[in-house]
Amino acid sequence: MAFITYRKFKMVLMEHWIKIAVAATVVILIILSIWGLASLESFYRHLTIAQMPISLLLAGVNAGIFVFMYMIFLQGGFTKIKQTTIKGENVNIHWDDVIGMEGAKQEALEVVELIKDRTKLLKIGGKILRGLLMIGPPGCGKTYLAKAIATEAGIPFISMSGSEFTEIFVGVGAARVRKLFKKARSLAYGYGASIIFIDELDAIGRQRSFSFMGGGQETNSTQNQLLVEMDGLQDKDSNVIIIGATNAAEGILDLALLRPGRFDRKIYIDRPNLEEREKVFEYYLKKIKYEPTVNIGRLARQAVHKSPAEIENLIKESALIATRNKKESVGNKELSEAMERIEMGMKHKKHMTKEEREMVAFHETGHLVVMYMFHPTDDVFKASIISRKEALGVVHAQPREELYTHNKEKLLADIKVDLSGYVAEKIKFGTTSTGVASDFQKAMQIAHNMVWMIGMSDAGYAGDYTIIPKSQLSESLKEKLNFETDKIIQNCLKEVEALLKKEWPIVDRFVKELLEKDELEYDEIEAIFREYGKGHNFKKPE
Amino acid sequence: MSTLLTRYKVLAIFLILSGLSACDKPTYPTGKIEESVLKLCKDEYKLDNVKVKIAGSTMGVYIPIEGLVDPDLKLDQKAGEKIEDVALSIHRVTTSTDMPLKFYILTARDTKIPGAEFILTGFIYDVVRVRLFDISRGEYFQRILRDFRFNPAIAGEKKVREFFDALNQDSSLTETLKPILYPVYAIGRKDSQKIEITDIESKELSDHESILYIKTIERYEPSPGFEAYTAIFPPGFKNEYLFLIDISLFMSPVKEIVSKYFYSNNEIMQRNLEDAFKQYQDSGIIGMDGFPKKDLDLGWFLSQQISRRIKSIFEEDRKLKNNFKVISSLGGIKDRVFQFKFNISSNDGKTGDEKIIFSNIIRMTGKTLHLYEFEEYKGVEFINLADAEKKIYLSKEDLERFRKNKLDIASLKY
Repeated sequence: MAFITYRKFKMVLMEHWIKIAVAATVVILIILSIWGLASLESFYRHLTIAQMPISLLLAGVNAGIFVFMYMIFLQGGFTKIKQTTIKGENVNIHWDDVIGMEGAKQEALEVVELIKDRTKLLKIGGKILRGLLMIGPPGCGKTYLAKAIATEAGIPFISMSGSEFTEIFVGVGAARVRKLFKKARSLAYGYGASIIFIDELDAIGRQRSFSFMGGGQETNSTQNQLLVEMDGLQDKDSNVIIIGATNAAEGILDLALLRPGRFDRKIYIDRPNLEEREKVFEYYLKKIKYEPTVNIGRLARQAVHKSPAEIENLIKESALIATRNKKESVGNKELSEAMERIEMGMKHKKHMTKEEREMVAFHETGHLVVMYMFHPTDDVFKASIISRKEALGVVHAQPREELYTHNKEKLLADIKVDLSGYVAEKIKFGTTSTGVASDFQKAMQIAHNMVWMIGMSDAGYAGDYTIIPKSQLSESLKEKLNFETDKIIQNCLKEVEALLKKEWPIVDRFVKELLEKDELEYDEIEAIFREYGKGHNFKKPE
Repeated sequence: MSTLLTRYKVLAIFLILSGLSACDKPTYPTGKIEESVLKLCKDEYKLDNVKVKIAGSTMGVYIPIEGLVDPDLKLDQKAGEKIEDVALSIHRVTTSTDMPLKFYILTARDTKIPGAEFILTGFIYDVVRVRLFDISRGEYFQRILRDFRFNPAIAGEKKVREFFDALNQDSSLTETLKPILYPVYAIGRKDSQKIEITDIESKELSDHESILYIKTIERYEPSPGFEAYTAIFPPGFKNEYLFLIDISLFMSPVKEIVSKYFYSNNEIMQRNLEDAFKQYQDSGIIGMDGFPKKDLDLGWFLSQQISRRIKSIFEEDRKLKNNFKVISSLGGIKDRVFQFKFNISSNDGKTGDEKIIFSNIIRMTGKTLHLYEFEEYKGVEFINLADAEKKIYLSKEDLERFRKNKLDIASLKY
């Protein structure tokens, strides 16, 4: 214990001897100043003290000007490296705080064990863990997990972003890497181990490029230095672990970085699944006041494909809305509004004529009814004829669960939903509006892909025809494929038309409700369908 | 390291605060003023014959100096340095004390030439202001009163003592003074008279005149035929005199002697000299002991300062100096009215010159009183003795208006 304390003390001395010398000098100067002041007659003492504020102000201004000039002219602006060094125990993020990534957490736990039992591992001749790469979409908690590792392992944690290494001057990034590792080794000397966390590793870890013009030279040299330093960690005494985080695909990173001995282990941190999302909602809702009617299960279902950061943002936004509405707690309404604001953008009421509103209402009702009746995987959560961004109305749907692959039925349902606005307008008014343009684009794209790429046409064309240059495809084949595409669209149109005509009373009812209320929530939508005996065939959200 | 820095910050703040907390004590607290001035003079300037006395808000400091006056009757350079040292000690103490002192008077007297003295009078707030660069050194020197003079009271006392010594030794004088120094030289036998001074009180009447009230014991042997007078004036009887001395009259400074007893209409009569002496007003500030006779006030100080400034206006400005001649300038304040009597005349006697004189003086007076923010007065009277005692009176409000150029000299009436 005493030895460790001595080493820590020595480390602090070695690392900060300039600061210590300066601080000691300042203290001595302060003592001398006060001694000098005390020896003055009270008149001169008061005079000196009275002048102190202005002297300090002037000194501050002078120092400020000097620093500004120095940074501007000699350091290339205020871009000097700023490392954030925090002791493990001060990071203060524990395992319990890490939620919504159980798999990644388990893997990280192993890493912590490896860091803690390093000595044991060395004794039995095991391979020491050097680097850990966390890959995953943004906002899924990579930094959070890295901090939790630091806390659990109880070792100092230096955090830097990859972009902090990049600089216009060649060599600056490499120098910063050297300095970072020097500091990490020093901390490892004092505390037994240390963690370097490099966020957005892809900024310096991209595959190196070689250009005769010299482009990318800075990134290359920075990465080379990183590779060298990571190799330097083979030294048994330097217990430094590098954690890299990136949301870039694995293939983007340089292979040299990924080879064993550098980033030995990779942890994939994906968006949370339903169960994890529930935990995330539960965790963040605990931090605010919320009404008991809030259904966490339903929220988790609604927030399919949302990252923990997005969920956190959603809760914060709902709290803001509740505050603005002068409510003391967050309810379903605020959460729904927050989600809608994030998903669909802010409401922006455009002044529409009565006829326009009616047309929009029929258009959106078409989407709504077809979505509800036809779609095998998605649920309608909201329908609105309030304009947002460029859209005059919207029907908000979400998949009931994470689907990583889509079948033909799902895709056909998507097309039908896209076409339903057009059909509804046509049935009611005998004419259609420009509002169908984006729907058609989506529908056509899906139908085209179904035929040209994924073999879902009725004619049995299998294969991805898009990879063949169009000039090499025969005109007859192209015609046939396009015919199949059109066939899908036409069939869907017929089905949609048949459905809407059949269920026209429901359409009328929804249009009436929308024109009255502007917006319909999930419960209201569900209630109307049940009223007409069209209760959902699918598992409903809780 | 952040903890380390935090610790240093805490230590630094602690040191600064504890240091500053000790900075509020005055170096020379009330009750230690006199000893502090003496200590400073002794320890730092090797002057151990300084005396200090405080009267109200005025600090009096006295130092006897051998050779204050040089052979040219000017202030001796070494003596001047000693005075500067004492003045510096006074400044140091008065600016670093919590005692509410307002004025200081430093009196330096020549130990060999009776009456030769240098008086330095200052307002302590002026000392503070010049040290804070709130006023210039030039302005500061205009604000302090420096008087190098012969004290008429001290010089008068010397003359009186010399007079009686001569009287006791040289009988040739007695013949002419017989009628005045009644009765011993009227009834005493020649060469038997001895007059011993038992007490002298003096008052300054002007910068060169003084009046002295002298008590004596007189011994004599009656002349033949005057033996009966011993019943009235037994040898060793007590007598009194009033002497009027004018030190500007070098050859015969004794202008007048009045004895208590006198012979008139075949009767021996007596006067009440004590009451007569009391009726004279003492214009002197410094007593025989070298300390101020009373606590100074700002009104008096400003009257003296302005009277000196009046002279300096016409002596320092080259144009005014060429055109005007300054004989004298005196100032005072009575019943809250300043009065400045000056004798300034035009060399050419041009019409309108008197307006230039008054205009300059009034403007300077208004400015000076304004700079001191002095409000305790009703008005100011300016009298030019050289110009048939032409007089201008301005109320406080008018003086302020004149200073602000809202009133011009043409609208003022003589």
